[in-house]
Amino acid sequence: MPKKVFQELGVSLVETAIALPLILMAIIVSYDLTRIYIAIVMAQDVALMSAKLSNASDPDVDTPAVTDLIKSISGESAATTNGRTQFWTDQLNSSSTTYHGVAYYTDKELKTLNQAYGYLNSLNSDAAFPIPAVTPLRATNLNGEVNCSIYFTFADLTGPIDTTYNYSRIFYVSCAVPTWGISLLGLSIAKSGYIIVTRSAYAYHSGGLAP
Amino acid sequence: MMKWIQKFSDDKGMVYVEFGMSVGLLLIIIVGFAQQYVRSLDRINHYAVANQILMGPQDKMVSFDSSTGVFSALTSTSTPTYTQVVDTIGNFFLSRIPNQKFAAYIRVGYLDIRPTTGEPLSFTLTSEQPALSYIGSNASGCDDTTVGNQFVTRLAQGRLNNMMLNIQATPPADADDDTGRVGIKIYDFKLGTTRYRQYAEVMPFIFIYMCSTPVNFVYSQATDTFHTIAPRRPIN
Repeated sequence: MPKKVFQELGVSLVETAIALPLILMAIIVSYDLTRIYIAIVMAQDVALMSAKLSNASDPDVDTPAVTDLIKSISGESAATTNGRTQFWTDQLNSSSTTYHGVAYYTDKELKTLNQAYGYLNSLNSDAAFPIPAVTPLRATNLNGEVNCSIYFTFADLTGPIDTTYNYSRIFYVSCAVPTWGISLLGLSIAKSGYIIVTRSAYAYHSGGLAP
Repeated sequence: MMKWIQKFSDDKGMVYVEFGMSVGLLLIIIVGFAQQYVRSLDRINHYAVANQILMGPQDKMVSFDSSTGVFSALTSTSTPTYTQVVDTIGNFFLSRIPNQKFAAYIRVGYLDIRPTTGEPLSFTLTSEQPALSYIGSNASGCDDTTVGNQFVTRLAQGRLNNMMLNIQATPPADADDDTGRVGIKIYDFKLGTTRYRQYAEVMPFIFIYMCSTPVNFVYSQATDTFHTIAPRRPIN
């Protein structure tokens, strides 16, 4: 073959060697960004829906136990499943950093959470919940799926509980989204192999705290 | 120099040029995508906050004179005052924005209603109902109050005028016809063959122009959204 053809072939090979990894990286990062974007939209939507449901006067749904509000991933470890139960224990434990502010849930709050998790499940039937309360949380705990927690705190709970007061709540939806391309880039935000996105919505005067 | 030109004038040079152009184009697409990605997230935040304002704290938006039985628009001397009512919304906006790069310009306007029929007559948007601004501490590019106030005023004028004309286009055919009647109903009953209706003289709407700091990956581009909200609590 002529020398010129060899030269051009070599140039093309060099270009391919440079361009191919770039294109592959762009594709997998785009995949991650799309997944994160969808999780943000979903989290915001579920947070707003939770706040709306919380404002409803009488939710027409069964009253669950908090341990009913768990959806595991098939084949996940016992430690991960226990971590999901621990999430709810921590929410009601005043010595926990994730205590929601009161040591119990009212029937209406449980009904609201029931509907909110149901709505989340209808939007993404693959999503597991809640995010396991294991320290440190690792990508392996997520089993490659989006894991989300819906929870709330009180905007105006200061001092002892007044059972006659109509409290406002802030609903949070946190989703742990496993990442691949962003983690490969070594960015600190996804160093653990996942990114947590959190959105919230304010449920103004959404009900009392009579047990 | 001649050697260099000769070297890159052949097909090999052309491949280099094509490669450079392709990579450049790819980078432009990636940066352009990043810009729209961030702006889109800002838009989601705008609509999320607007939704929360819809459900959030609101004071009564119509003043009532118990001695005359007349409902009227809020002013600087009404109870509550116009500023108090808009501040409740604006301060809630500031408490709910995810970061300080957001700003809102808020104005409340009124459709004037014929109290006996519920039909819109005109609209009220005077200097007694000014646009008020609520600007995050890092909302550069959105902090020009002259521009923001103009935007929300145009929004309010346009929407109120459109609503009024749209409703006026289909007036009620008779006393029992509900078409073309809007406003806040006070009472509605029939005595003998005569139907008596009474509506509040004004019907309030909240207008919000939201802005977030321009994103500048490719070129500077702010995110603007416009919201019209029917208040949840028009009368006490």
